[in-house]
Amino acid sequence: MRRIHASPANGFLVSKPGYDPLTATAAQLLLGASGKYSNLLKLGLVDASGSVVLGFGAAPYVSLTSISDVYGMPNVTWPADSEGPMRPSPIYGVSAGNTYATVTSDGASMSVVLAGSYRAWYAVYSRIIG
Amino acid sequence: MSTRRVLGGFNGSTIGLRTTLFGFDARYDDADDVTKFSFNSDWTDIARVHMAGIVAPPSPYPSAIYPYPSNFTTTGYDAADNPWLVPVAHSLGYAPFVEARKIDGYTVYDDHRTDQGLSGSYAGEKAWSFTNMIKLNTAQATSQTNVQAGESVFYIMYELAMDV
Repeated sequence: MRRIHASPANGFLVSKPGYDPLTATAAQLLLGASGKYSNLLKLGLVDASGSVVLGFGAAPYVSLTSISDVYGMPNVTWPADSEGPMRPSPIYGVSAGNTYATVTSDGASMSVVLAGSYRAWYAVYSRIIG
Repeated sequence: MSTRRVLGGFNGSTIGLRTTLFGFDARYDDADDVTKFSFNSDWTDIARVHMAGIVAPPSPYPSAIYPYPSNFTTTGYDAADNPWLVPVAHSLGYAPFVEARKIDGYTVYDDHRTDQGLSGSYAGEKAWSFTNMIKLNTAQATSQTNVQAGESVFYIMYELAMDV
């Protein structure tokens, strides 16, 4: 079964396996270039505060999530090097500010300031701030 | 020179579309590496983003205490009806997964919370999700759920049910 369709009338469509792109619902499409919805553009990890190159032409939405090890939880044995998203951030009892990022207005880069010694991952979306 | 998009045949038989992030080649790099590829039609699923936007706190500011799951016992209404929670309607028919962050101009924060040392419950919950809407926490409360004057909350709503 075809999974890719391109035409002036319907745009560019790529369906999930088992679905015809011309009759698939939005939820059955991997990509619907004629539709209006946002996409996750980029994921990344920040190890140290500083500038991160984004390379876009306008300031995109960015979400940040600090990462912490998960040691110290009672009655739980974790594999070595276990890490996960940290909530609240900073974690209770840690004297540090929020991790934050300031995106340049042209979307070329962002400046990331990490809280304490934590790392963070970021997600960039195809929506424009402002 | 690298090629960032290929539409056509792969390995002599497979027809597909592959696009890469800047600096990677759609023909030769590992097409299952999501740090290199922005799209690969061989992927069997992608969590779609249904809606995204920015909401500001209500104006004028409500006099209610900030919302958190147990405060209905002291304020007389359920946390989900707290006036600091700004509703955004959706038509998904299920409670979707939502990411929400505090934003101030071009600066986005990891968490609403800006200090440490809270005793007892943490009041930094950022969004409530329902089958017909989400509600974004815009509460202003010194040292707890800190969406301060001039700041807003942006959200990303995925087409991903939380009750799977």
